[in-house]
Amino acid sequence: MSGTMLDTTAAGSVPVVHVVRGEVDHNSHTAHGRPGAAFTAPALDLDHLVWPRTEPGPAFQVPVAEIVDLLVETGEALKADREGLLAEALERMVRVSPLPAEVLERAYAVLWRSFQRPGLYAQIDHELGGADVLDGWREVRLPGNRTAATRAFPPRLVHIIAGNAPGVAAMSVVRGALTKGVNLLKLPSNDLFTATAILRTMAAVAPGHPVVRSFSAVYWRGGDETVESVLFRPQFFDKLVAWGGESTIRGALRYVGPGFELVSFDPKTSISLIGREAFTSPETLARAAEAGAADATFFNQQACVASRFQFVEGSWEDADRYAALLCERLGVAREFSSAGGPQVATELREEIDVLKSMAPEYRVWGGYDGRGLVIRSPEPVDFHPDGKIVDVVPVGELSEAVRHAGVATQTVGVYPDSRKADLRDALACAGVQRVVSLGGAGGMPPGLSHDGFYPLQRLMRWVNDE
Amino acid sequence: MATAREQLRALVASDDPFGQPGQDTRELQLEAAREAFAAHRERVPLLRTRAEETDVREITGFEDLVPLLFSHTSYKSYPLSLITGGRWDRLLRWYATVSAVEPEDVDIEGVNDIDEWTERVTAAGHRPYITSGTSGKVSFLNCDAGDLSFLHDILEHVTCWPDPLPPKPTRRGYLLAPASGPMRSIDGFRWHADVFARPGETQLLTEEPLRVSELMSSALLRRRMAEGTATPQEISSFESASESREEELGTAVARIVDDIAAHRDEPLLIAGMNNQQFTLIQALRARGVADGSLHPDTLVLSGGGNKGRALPDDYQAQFAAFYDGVRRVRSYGMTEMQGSCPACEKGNYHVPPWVIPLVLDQPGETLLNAEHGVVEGRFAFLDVSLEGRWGGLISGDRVFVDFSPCDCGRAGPVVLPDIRRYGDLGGDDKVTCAATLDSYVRGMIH
Repeated sequence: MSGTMLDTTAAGSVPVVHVVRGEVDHNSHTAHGRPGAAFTAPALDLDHLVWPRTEPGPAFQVPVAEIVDLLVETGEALKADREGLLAEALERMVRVSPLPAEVLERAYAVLWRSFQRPGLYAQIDHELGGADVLDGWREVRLPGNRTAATRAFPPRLVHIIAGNAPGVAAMSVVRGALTKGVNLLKLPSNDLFTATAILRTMAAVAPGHPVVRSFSAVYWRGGDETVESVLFRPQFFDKLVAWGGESTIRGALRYVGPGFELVSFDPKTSISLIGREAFTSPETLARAAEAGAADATFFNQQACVASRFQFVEGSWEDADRYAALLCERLGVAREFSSAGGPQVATELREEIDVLKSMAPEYRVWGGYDGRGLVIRSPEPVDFHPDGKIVDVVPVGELSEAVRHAGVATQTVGVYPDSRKADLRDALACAGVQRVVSLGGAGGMPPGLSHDGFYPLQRLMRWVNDE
Repeated sequence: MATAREQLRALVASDDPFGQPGQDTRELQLEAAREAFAAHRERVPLLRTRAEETDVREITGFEDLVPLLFSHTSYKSYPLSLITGGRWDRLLRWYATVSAVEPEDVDIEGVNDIDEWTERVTAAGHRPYITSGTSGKVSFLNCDAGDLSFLHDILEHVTCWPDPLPPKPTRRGYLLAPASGPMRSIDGFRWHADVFARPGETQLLTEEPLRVSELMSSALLRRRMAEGTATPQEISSFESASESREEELGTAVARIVDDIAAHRDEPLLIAGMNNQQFTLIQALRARGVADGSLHPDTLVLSGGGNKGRALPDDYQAQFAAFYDGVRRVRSYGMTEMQGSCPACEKGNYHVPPWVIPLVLDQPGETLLNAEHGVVEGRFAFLDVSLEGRWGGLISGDRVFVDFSPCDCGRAGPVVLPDIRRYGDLGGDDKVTCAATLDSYVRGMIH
């Protein structure tokens, strides 16, 4: 870690920009962070972080079509980065993020993809049933020949976003804009720059636009009661949209009460199931190993969709053949991963050293240099594989692997595709949210559910006229 | 001619094991480290693997030991499924990779649970001492018969050093612990009672033995919950079993408090981990037993870290006040070390000669030992006395070690009293036996 640490002097601390109601905040900076990852951010003006309920939010009455146009234009601007805002954010991000620069660069280069028109309408159409209910009152027929009207009314949202992948910030801005509501984004210390770069780009596209004025993005230390106990109140916000680890969610729960709801993107983990068809030929095995490696290395295994346990239908020898190939493929750079990665942490090395001594029950491929390591074990290992480590576990039948899936399992990649249909009900029953073709774990298509619910539908306030 | 390791072990019965000249000791220690490495490399596969990977072929200086040190996680690195699935042979194979146990020497035929497994290893001439942390997964630290007899020698000769206590059974004993169990503190308390308490006059917190499966019950239950096989009724029973144990132990403490109050004018032996000692002191004070009122020949044994801040910051001061005027064992140590580092007249902890202190940088990679002066860093050591396992270990403790002669006049090195966990300073976590026994005694294992 020490090699990636920052200079701890004041001159070495990284300045964080705040956006408040669409404008860059020029308040004086205060120091944050810890030695090795120090940064400064503007002091908070709490009064400006809320939109009073006595008046509608700036974008409440803006037609969806106009918002989509704005988002698409923002996407084009992000792609071109005419203002150099993404370049600036990237330069600062590289200095504090645990992700390697090349991965961040590639992730930034595709941020615009979240702002494409077909994807935006897919969310509106699939999650809400169309734009009409956002723009006005949708008539609904009730039993007894009655009619009523319903509207997806703009909400007041405070978002605690995750920083393990820059796309989270983009996704949060898109969803927040489509709701037409007001949005306060709390920046995470592992991504202090992406959200503000996007919001500033949007502000450059349409200065003073109601949607632009509907967003703030600021940093405070997660769990800081002096901020959270003040802001997390139903007088100011309807919902807390929280991403992340258990401590974030548990911290947020303290404030949940009547009128203040939690929308939680819980901490998750992911696995893969590789059917015996992988061993049909050297080509199929190579294809499965490449797909398994792609799923395991998404954001160098920092993302929740990144697979950590891979269950192989076959003998120990079959699993070993797969594991050896998988290990080779883990060390290959992809769009969202690098060939190298973080060195394996000392505690994990201890555990893996012991397993090495327990051959033939356990076998290990690869080293501790961050290029990827695979353990083949008769049962899943007790520790959490992290930093491009995969545990390969042989099973007699893929259905046996289902018992290793639970409510914390988000994505299950399956090889070959034809096996998904037989497994998906059992996996869903166990608590899983996504069953994908192996290799397709990364990136979530717009318009589908996320963590078991339709976010846009959940973010709105549903109001009736009966 | 005795080997260097034998010479160092023999010092325990000398006039002052901690008064040896520094330079002589260091040379003997280096030779003993070579002997220990040669012996354990043959018998402990994890050490062999480590030596091969780090390309350490021989010990030419103390810095060569650094890459060979284990951490406490090594001793609990077995897959939990070996226990939940009853794969006792595989658990034994694991144990054989981190200790000098030969699997074929242990008969595991018909073993039903982890306690029986532990008993079988013990029956084969080894003692797997367990320690546990909040996760519930326990460490198994192997000792062989020679290690146990050496431990007994230590308590007989060194208890209350620098003013050792004559081994006479003259006290009324109270052990704030269960009757038995594979924990070093329980053995230590019992042996102290054998040596220093009147036969038949020792009271225990409970006559029930401490069961490893009970210590691990939270880890095992958590595992079953994760697998989706634990039922709500099981979880509920687990909770209520903890509550009833807590009640039973409350009654036991009350009984001991009454007895101590009635016999406070006699010499007593009071042994217990810090958490239990603290509970006892509060109860005795409430019962009207004043600070400093116990018989001066009373022997008090305590220990264990303040894990999870279960005790107030000033608990040491409260112990000192309540036990003012009695004989107290004050030392710094851990189950992973044979004996511990007792405090001298100046309050500094003297490292016994069979333990080579190795002060490392915080990541545990670079040796910082000096010829003279105070060095701050992570405490690590090689205990060359150990036969049952490799004695090289990295702790989670941030210490200051003074390599100059101590103010008490003896040669160094000494660990200075300001000892903190890196975990408490914002680093990693450390597992201690204090939390273990506390988990058992309070019955609160989640």
